[in-house]
Amino acid sequence: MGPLSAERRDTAASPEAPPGVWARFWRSLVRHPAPDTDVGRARTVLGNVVLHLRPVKVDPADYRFTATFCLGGLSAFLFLLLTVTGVFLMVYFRPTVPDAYHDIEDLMHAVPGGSFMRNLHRWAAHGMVITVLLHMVRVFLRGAYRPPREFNWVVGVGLLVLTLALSYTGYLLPWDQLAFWAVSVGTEMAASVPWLGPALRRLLLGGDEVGESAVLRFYVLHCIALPLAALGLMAVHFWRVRKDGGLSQPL
Amino acid sequence: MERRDNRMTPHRGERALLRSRGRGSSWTDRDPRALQLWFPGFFLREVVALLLVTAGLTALALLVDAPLLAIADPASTPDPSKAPWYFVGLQELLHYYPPVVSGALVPAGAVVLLVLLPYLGRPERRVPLWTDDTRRGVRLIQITAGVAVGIALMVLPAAHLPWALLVPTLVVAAGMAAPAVLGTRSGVGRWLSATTLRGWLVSWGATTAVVLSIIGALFRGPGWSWTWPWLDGIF
Repeated sequence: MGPLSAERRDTAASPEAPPGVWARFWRSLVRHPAPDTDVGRARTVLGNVVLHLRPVKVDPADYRFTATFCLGGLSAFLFLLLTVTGVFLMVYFRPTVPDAYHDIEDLMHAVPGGSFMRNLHRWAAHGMVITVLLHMVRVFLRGAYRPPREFNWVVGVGLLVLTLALSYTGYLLPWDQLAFWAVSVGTEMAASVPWLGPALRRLLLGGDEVGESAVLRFYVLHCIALPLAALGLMAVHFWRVRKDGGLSQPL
Repeated sequence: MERRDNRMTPHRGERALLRSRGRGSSWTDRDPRALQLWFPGFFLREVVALLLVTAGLTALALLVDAPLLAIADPASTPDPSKAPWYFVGLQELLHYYPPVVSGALVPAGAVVLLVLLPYLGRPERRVPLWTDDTRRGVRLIQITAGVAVGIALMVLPAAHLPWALLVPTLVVAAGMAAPAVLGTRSGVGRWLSATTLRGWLVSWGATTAVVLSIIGALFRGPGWSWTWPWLDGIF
């Protein structure tokens, strides 16, 4: 009863005229009062599915640029950018040999905006590996891995591994010499794990050579399995940031 | 008093932690008067940060094309064939050690140590390696012994001298020992002495990883031979 009546006071049209269709649509879409009062600003954050990832109130000390250098947020943003550009690339890409290579050639030379989307995807991917690594360095130097945040550090290590795996599986997909030999070198190193290694390599490649089944497996990992896993861990990671004491301050 | 310490710069905040055994539990413990509404001020700052990064990446994507070489050909091996840059440090290790070290032990060990990092020892108590009470001779012997054991572990399994590991190791060891000469009271000495053993070990891991990656990415050519990027180009 309390919050609802507050909302009605803030947003309802004046009593003399019933609200029009547009006003009713707007009120059904935005379930908070206008952000021109403190209550309105707080309800704006609470009532928006994206904004509610942030707390209603923060300590300004957390928001000094040098406290975080924005590195965690930028990693998440780059993941989002990679998802959007990646979906675009999927439309033009067949994970078969040799079509994969020719599809990337078409993207670079024939598809309108194709080279821009691929470039953006590639550079954002390198950028995300860099921001994730630097985020980890900053969290360590800040001491923000210490209790009570130690489990979120573990989740972060999982996200680092997933980021590297995402980047690495994407590396093979253009099926050019760079892709083929970088993945050959890497999977041969994985094969050196005692006992498990050769089996692990065969599982990853779908055979003994880097070939068509490897492209399909890397494609499925890159576009479906690893992003879903990363999304799950990111949800836990962000939730734990809030539960474990907020951003960045040494506790 | 303790609450004010919480808002100090990281370095001073860490000192404050040394003084207080107390441990905050959640942001609701903080002084409510210090909190400000996130919307719209801080929201706009985040939007500006995202827009700046988007603008930078857009410019990069317009100016520089992502590489696309000839179609994959299993019959023609480029020399050298390099792993992606974030794995090229492990490939550089392959030059000194058998594949099981660089392909299995080091990456698996690195992940396990990273996971254990907040659980080993007592991270809530930050004990600097050097304080005013530290007995200089004892500490120097401990550092020397530790570094000697580490170097032995690096040299013994190596096919030839792993100097790309030894140089950063010795640099970090010099930093650890430096407060014995520089003192703990001022300048660089004070800064180095405040670092914990955990801090030194992580610094060692990060420094060697960066040095190995730079060597692998820029200074290695055909047959993994040494090349100078400004003379021979980057392979």
